[in-house]
Amino acid sequence: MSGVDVVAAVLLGAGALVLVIGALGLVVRRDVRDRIHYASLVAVLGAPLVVVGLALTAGSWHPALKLLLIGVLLAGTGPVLSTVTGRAVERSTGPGREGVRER
Amino acid sequence: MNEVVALVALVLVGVVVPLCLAGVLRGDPLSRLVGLEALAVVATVVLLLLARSAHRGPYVDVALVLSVLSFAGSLVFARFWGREL
Repeated sequence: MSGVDVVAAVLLGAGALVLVIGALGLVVRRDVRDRIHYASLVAVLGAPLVVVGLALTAGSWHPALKLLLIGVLLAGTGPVLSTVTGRAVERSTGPGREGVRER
Repeated sequence: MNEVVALVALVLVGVVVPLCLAGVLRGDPLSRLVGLEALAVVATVVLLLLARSAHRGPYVDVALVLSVLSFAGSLVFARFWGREL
């Protein structure tokens, strides 16, 4: 087991752990605004960690590049979805918390 | 060796799918949508880990298509709910 394999295994484990934590937060929290944070944790940190871990041991550059493309897509679209969902929450409920200033 | 590591990660991520489903099943519509967004990401990761651990190369293409289509679907849902469509 070479050094690259160890690094890849650590990245995979860390990514899976982040996914578990994000999903647990998603279930425990009730408010939408809290849930959005955990969903973007899953998309921006968990998935790219797993993808990089897989790409390191892909063997050749072509599958590794495809994996990295998926990782970039997931990490790039996650914040967009969070923003759009947050805006939808604002529109449907209005600024719901004390201290949340309206623009 | 890499297959075994991917399999262990797959078992860990497999626990996440029911958790995200529980998130989809509870709460008001928009917080369910947030659970759906997380579930799409987790499904993509599950497909990637499955491709590595079970030697199914084409699953990576499925994951690529899913990552694009789930984004479009969630975007339509969110904008429809925000009455911006």
